[in-house]
Amino acid sequence: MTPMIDIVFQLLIFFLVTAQMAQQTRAQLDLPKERGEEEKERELAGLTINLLGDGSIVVDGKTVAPEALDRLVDEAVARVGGLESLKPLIRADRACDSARLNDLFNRLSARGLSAIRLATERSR
Amino acid sequence: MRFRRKAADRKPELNLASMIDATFLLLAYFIFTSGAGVNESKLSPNLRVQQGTDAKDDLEPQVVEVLRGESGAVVFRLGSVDHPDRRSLEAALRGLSVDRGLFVRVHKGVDVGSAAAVIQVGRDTGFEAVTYVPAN
Repeated sequence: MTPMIDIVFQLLIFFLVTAQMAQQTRAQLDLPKERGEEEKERELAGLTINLLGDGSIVVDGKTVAPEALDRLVDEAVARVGGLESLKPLIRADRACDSARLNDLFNRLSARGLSAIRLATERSR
Repeated sequence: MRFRRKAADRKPELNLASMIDATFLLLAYFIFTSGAGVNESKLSPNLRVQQGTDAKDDLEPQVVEVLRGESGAVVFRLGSVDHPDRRSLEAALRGLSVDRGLFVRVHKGVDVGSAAAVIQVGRDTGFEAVTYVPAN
């Protein structure tokens, strides 16, 4: 009986820890409930920008000012090796006012970016 | 006479089974945790959009305006017709040429979810090039 209890507790700890880790890797957002597109292969975004419901911008878990975003974009462009290679992913809260999203698009456009992806999630 | 071996002469017994158990559990743990933390940039699904302007071109652009109507509800305006829901918009888009692309002009005051819905409808109706145009 003892080994079985050992294994059960180990499994319990395992699932608790992994569930917690998976949650921490992304900002909690209520994304638009859309099917999205079928991609043949997943492309790395190079830069993921979270747009929260209140309009604040979060990148890599840190809230950034719009001005600071320009620097992050430039760094990402340099990292991936050119504007064409950078396809930023915007994770915007679906309740957020589009004016905020528009500002973000304009800002990215001013940096020379044109191919942008908008994250969605499938409704359950 | 019976001779007993001294306790010091006996080899200590090592229970390998529990050690193997622990090793395999650690192995499984690291395999699973390295895969569980999927980077947010790799999360699927998403919608590809181009960023652009609706500047006048040789071709008259096919523009869907996403804005709030007089009643305060979000409407999808194609030409001079306001579509109250995505089903109606989808039916209207099916009559357009997909080769010319689709422009989605999003006004302020509209929620992001509605803007994404129009992009999705554009994709579903076969438009390869869907361009997001900020209206403010």
